Amino acid sequence: MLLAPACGLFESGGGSSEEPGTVVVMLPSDNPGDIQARQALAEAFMKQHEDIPVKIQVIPAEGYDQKVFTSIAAGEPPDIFGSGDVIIPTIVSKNYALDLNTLIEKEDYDLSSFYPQVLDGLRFDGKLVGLTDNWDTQVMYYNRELFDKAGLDYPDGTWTWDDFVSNARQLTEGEGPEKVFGAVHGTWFVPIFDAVWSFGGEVFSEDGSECLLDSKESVAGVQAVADLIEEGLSPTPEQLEGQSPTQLLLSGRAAMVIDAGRWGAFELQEGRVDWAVAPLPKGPAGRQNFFHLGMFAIARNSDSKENAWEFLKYMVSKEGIQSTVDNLQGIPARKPVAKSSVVTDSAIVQEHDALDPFLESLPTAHTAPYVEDFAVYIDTIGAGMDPIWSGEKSAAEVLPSVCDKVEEQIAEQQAQ
Amino acid sequence: MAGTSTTGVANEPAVAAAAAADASAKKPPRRPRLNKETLAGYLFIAPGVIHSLLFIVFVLFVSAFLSLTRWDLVSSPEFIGIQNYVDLFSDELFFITIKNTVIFVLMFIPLTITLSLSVALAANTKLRGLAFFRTAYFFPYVASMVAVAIVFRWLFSSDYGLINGFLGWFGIDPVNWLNSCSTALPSIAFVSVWKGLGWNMTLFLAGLQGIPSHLYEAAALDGAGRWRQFRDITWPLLTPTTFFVLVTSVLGSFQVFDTAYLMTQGGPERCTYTYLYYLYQQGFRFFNMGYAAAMAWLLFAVLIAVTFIQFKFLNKRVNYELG
Amino acid sequence: MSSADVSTRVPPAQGSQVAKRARRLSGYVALSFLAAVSLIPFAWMISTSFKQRFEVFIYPPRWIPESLQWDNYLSLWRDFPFWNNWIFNSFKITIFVVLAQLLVCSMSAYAFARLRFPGRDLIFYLYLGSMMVPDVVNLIPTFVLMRSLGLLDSHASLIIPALASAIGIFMLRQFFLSIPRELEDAARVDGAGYWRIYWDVILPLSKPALATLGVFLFIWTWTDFITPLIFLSSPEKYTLTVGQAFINGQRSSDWERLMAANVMSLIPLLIVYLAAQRHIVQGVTLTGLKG
Repeated sequence: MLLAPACGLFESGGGSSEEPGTVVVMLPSDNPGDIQARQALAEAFMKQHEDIPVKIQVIPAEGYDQKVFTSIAAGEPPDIFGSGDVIIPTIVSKNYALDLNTLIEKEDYDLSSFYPQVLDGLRFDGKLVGLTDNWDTQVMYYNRELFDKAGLDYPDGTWTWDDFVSNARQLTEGEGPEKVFGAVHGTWFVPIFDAVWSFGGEVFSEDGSECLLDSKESVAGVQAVADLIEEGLSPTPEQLEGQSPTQLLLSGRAAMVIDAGRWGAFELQEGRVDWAVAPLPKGPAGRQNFFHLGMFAIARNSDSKENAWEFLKYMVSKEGIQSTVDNLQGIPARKPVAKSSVVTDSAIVQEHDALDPFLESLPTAHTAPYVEDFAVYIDTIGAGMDPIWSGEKSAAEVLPSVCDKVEEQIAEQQAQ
Repeated sequence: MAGTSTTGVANEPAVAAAAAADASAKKPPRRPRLNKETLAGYLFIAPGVIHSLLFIVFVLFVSAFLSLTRWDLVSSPEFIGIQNYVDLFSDELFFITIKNTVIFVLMFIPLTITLSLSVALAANTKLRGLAFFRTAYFFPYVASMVAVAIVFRWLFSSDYGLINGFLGWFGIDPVNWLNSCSTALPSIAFVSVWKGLGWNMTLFLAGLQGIPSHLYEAAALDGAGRWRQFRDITWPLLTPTTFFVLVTSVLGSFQVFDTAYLMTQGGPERCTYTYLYYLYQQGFRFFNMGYAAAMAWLLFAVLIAVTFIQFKFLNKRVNYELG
Repeated sequence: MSSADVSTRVPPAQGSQVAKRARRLSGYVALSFLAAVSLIPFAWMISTSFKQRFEVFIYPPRWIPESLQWDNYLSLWRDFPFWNNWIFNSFKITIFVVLAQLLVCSMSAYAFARLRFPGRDLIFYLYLGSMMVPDVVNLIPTFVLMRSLGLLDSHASLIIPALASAIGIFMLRQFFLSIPRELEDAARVDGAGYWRIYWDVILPLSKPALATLGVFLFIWTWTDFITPLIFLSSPEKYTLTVGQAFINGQRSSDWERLMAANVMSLIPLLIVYLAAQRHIVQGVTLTGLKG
């Protein structure tokens, strides 16, 4: 009796408190300049489309997820929302994003200047779940000075995992708090997935029902990273003391770092080391680099779909991307913009080569598996792998039980 | 309710009014009387109660309802009765987080009360310079938890930390404070006590102000030493404050989240994964809002029980006046 | 308790004078040590706020930056045109909440502590009970409530839910209960009604408690992040805590500027606490009681 009205409170019928037809956009912030840049974008659009009001909300990264989902839950959903790696699989598999194909086909929208991998990465089950203005992928950062000092050649796209390890051995030196690590490898899920894939392993099966981290190849990949730590080439979690691997490079204590995408370049720019970028080394199964695809998606139950589509098109148009390119950390999603001088003339590209390695890695970019409850499994896998990085157990010992736990959770989820 | 004493004087107007009404109306005695005191009582609590009907009662009602649903925030809530509660009892992580949280509480409470009280007693003078000390002790409470986490990660570092360095002077081997299960939770408890010092210390300070000084003077004349004075005057009269500190610290420590999240992210291997952290994950990362709500209400039941026990056993010992 | 006892008291021996002094000294040492430990994070925050990026995490930790980067502070105003608005908004909301809650909570607490009326204890226990549900799950229902009241994206949405709180009522009730009744009784004999007693007798005597609650309300409201984040959407209306959160991106952290913002944000809190101490620690004499 009380249930019906209570349920009703959460419906988004009745619309948001904005005037009808307003496109409400929620985006996470990466730079202080975002607030003004996005506002300027909205204003430029509104000048061209006087009948479509747009309200952009730029939200601090820290509270972004909570804000978006609280708003959706309470019946005030955004019409367009930005979305990062971990949330996309969930959003997509819950069917929350509108399939843009329906809108594209109506007007024959030209997608050709997008990098094809971007479009592929945003397709799920034949649906196009969003569009984006930039993409990013994992690369390796290195300290040129340390290479010069050791008389070694800089890394390039031909390196294999063995090249990586042997160079690391020569670059590691010192002891204690001033030790320089030759090869710092991140242990959050993204670089680990890369290691697993490049050794020929997989994380989930095609249909998402099995965990494949306990296969021989996956174990080999994870163990390869653990071996770096074991040998002292990469720091233990203890030795990192809460710093990120990129920060270690910044303070001159790392020769090579595999942990970040292009955002690492902006971080390193603030430092004093002579850094540069190279593609990831190739494992036995070639190079595999995690494809970071944020996206702008339209909510399936938005009540201003057509208006939202107009604005979305503007956000990812050449004009739109060009105007915000200063705030983008990734590579612009449209080829002409990526090749334009705004990008190629920037300091990080000119002096530190922060463009070509990314383009070189694009063909091998690997998207996150689209499994519902992705965040849950990541959590389980992360916690389960802790003993591997501290050297207590080997990957072969730990991964089977991690997979068991994950598969239990998958079964639970599928039972619902 | 135990602890409230009555004096004849306070009742006079009420008694007089009641007597007058009685005499004139000759109504049956069991009808409630709307005397001045009762009316005043209701008027005084009215603003608070009206506010609470909306912001406490309604809100709690809805969240209790949510605990009976399955809800992923994106679709409509789906009523499933007590299924969430049932599922909780077969959830391994639920038990792990309860265990961690209870251990945390048991470490936190005695430490925080003894430390805060000691510091409050020591800092309770108008001597110049003490104001500086009080502010210094208060500072951790308002420091950014992020900064605190970074600094303490250093201090606790097994190779380079000051704490191990200090212990090394005494020939004690370095301890891997934050990365080994047995010491991670105590380390978190320690940081929480340190961070909460400002809150509890200030409460005790305020409570100490309410103890009339003439009692101390009389006791000193009596030859009572500092310990006797503490035991016979300070402690008994401080009990309302101590009680408040105890109740709020218990409520707060059961809901520990920030420290565990920022310093160890629930690790190593979930040894510092606390109840509220898990609740939050369920609600906003795993999209199980109904489940999270059930966790919240289960915690509520536990806290009600714990607080009830505190009231039952300790309220008798709470003296609002001496003698 | 007779004066006879005074004359039979034995004067303390010389030895215990030394012992007393040693105790006092070790007391000071302990206090100072604790103060030092308490201030380390503050020192790190200030130090980091003046550093350049590369020196934030070098080891051994560098306490004195290579050169003072005042720009870390100045850039906050430069990069965030709304920085002043945010500071002002935080003050505005916090002061409203503190004053309103002190009034409403003290009224309720007075009734619970001193007046008798049917349902008094039940209602008080209900308040206590409401403190036992974690706030996290109340966020969405409160949001729904705000939305229905049409208050979203307004400062009222932050102030109104904070006009009263169970913890404030609980705290003040405990303090009021320990005020000696003699003063109230005296006032009542003089013919004062309940409001007069509340306003002229209880409140002035409760300065330590009110100051304490006031300080903590100030801190809690000033540092609240989630509520302004969720309920506000226009950038110029944000509070300082939300504004500060823009300093970090999704994957990168700008420690120097974040610490600069945190230090700035901390200063009002420390000032408020210092000012409140005058009332919290009144020292030795309290009441004007005779004998």
